[in-house]
Amino acid sequence: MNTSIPQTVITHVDAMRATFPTPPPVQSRTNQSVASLSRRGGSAHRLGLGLILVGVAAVLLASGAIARHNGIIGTGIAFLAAAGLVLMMTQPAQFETLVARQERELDEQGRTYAGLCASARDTFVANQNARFHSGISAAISENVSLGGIRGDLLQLAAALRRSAEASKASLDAATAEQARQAALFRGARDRLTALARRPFAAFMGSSLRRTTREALQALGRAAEAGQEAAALAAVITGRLAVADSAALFAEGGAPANLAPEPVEHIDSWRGEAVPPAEDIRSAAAARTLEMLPDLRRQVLDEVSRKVPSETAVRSAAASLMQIERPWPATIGSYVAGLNGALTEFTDRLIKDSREWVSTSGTPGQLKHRKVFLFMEGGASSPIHTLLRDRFHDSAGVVTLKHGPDEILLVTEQRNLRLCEIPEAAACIEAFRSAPQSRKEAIITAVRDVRDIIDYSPDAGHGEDRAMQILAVALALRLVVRTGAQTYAFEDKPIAKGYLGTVEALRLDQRLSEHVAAAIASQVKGLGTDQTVDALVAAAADAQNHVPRDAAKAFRTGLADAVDELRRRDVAVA
Amino acid sequence: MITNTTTTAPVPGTLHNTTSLKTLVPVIHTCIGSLPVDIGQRIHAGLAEHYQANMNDLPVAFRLIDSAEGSRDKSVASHGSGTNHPANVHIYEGHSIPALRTAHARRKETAHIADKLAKVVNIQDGGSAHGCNQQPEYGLAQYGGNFPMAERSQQEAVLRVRSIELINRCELRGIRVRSGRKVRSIRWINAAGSTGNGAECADALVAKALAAQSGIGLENHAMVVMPSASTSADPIAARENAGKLILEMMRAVQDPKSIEFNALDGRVFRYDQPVYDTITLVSIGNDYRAAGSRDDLAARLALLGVMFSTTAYLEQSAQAFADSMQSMADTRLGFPFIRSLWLARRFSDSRRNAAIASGEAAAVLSKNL
Repeated sequence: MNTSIPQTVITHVDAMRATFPTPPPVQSRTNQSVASLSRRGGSAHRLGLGLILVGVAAVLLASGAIARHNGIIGTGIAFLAAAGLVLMMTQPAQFETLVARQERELDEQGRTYAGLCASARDTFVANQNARFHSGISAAISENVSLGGIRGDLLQLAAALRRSAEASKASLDAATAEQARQAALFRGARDRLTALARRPFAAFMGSSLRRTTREALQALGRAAEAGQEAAALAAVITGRLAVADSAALFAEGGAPANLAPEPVEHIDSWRGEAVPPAEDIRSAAAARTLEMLPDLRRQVLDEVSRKVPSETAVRSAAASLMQIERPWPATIGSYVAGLNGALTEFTDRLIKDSREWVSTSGTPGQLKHRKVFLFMEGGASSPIHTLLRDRFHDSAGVVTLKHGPDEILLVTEQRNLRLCEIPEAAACIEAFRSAPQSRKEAIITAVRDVRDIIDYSPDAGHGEDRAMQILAVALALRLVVRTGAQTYAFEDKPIAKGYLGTVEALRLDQRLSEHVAAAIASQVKGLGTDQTVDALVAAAADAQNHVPRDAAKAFRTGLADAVDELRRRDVAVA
Repeated sequence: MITNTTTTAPVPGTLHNTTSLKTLVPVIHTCIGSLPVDIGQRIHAGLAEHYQANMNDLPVAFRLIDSAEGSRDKSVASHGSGTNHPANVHIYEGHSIPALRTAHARRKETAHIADKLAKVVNIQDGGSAHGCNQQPEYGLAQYGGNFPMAERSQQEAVLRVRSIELINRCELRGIRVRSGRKVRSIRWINAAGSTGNGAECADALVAKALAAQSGIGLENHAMVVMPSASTSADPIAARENAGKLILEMMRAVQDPKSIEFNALDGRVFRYDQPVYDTITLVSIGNDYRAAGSRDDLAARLALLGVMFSTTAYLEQSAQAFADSMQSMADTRLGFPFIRSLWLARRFSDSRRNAAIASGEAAAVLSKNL
């Protein structure tokens, strides 16, 4: 036994009967009625007969058999009338009336008593329910599990049901006795009725009295048995009601084990929800165990109101979590509680914010990269400090205050070149490798398609580049020098003087692109090896291509071009 | 095509957490083509989730334009609010190729487009209902044919993000509107496609030119989705289109005078300043992470798009990189203009947390009852 509930609830029949009202007396009422029969029958009847005799004698005497006398006749008639009156008082119907009244009164008394018993039963049930409720509360306070409470309640219910079952035999006996006495009563009443219908029944006083007495006595015994049956029925139904209440608690308070519901799916593109589900679960479980007694009480209260146990459990859990919220209220407090895990958290955040395009970078070039942190607390947040450590010299960290439920980290890099983005470089290469007709067809932004076909933002366009283009174009005879030191491309003069032409190519990007495109076309036709040979030969014979003062710049340009061609060749291989 | 959604107020979702941070950066989202429209719709849904009932009064404009009929009926699911049909997508009127060709052949300035149309594969007799089939020239011709609509939408968009009425309404509802000196236009582009690919530079140029005509400064920030995120049938054509578009956009920055758009009504649009203020390339992923699909990438980009409006990022970024402008002049190794960026997000969703905790508490309670 886990609790004191079974002791607190009354299960014994006698103890329960003691709480019921005392049955009203039936026997004394019957005796009174029986005693009244002699008044209604014996002396009155005899008096009536005597008066008749006196009356008849007086009439006979006065009618001439002995002497005529009006006074005597009158007296005789008076006696006859008195006799008739007395006999009328002793009519057999009087007995039937007496029996019927007695039956009605006892029936009324029986119904009243049954009502009192039912009321006493309800009071008893309420008292017993209150007792085991307080027993349950005490058990919950003592941290007895609902399993233990449930066991005791089931024991109690079983004991009450057994006891009720045992009492049913007594009830059956009482009911049978009531039925038997009722049958006897009905028999006596029928005989009385038959007797009363006989001629001269008024002259059968003793028979009438006897039969009436028998009927009244049977009626009294039937009423007594009825009272006993009513009391026993109240006892049985009362105990069954208490047993049912106990069982309702016991059975309702024992739901099947509920599995945790799967976490609601949140699309991953929305970011990562924190805290992790496992952290929330462990905190919720700990808090639930702490609040177990209150939750048990809450569940039992719900169950006693006939709420399904599973609903009661979920409702109690939900209301607890609504109040307790055993997870960090804000993302700032979550981060503050990470302690040793903060570094890992920040590293993952940085990795997740990496730009979504692969870049190779150019050695020696400054990276223009910054990270923007939007977080509660702004620069005072611990993540800001960690980011400053991570990017102390390669990127700036810009931290701004943000809402309490969200951290945003944006990594941005600018001033990237197309050659640093492999996919972009591959796309440009695919475009350049497309058939000329296709290239010309798909260009939409410019009217002159050469502005795009010859355009190479992925290649360098500095002074060195212009010098390199001019040197190679001269070596491959794409740009020609006239006698007046004017350099021309496709028969159109570019500028005068070697350095002047370099400057013109540097400034006129479109022209330099066209020359570069012509070079690329020539290189494609010749092949890398032959081109390199031609450039090396031109470098050795610089005086034939440029004036003496420009020879050095010419050779430098060619050397850079050769290096580039060889690098490209190696890359292709 | 500027969205005035009539959907019911969405249920709070995971993007609604930052209610205490009531900031809005007015932005125009221009999305031409199927993937960009998908992104635009998701941004719309995200903003609706974030700003709830105030969505209709935000000074944020959406220009969703496509040639494929399918974009009209596409819907996106918003967390906790079910399916959303957020934005009004304008589908090009179905001009047939011969009709477009005739229209472009009328003027000398557009005759070259008519010549290109002669070689375009005829996809549908009725027009571009199934898209432009990786033919950017067809995309440009459709844009030209529907230019009045595109122009009107651009003008309306600029007016919407600058609307004093909408800004006042937001301020009255506690939303602080952080307008910049210039109108910010985010252009979502599928480099591998054709509808947006063909029209992109023209539309960006028109946007700048129209704003300049009204005396309003406008910034074009291009978000270019690379072919790695494409599901096109012809990957070679996708890469060629992407390579072409990148070159065109770079040219529009480096040499904007060479870019022009000739409308069919005879107007010529030119702009002598860089057409784009930033060009951001986006792949399907990086060295560490990748999106599972094009839809996934669209959703992630949409989150980025929502962030542009809900934080001061755009403003802060411009300030933080002000010192990098100088190094753009260094073209010795190529033109350094490309931007790359990405976003990581962590959030605390009290609804989700409560559900997990309640479920666990119920399980523990049922075991220990």
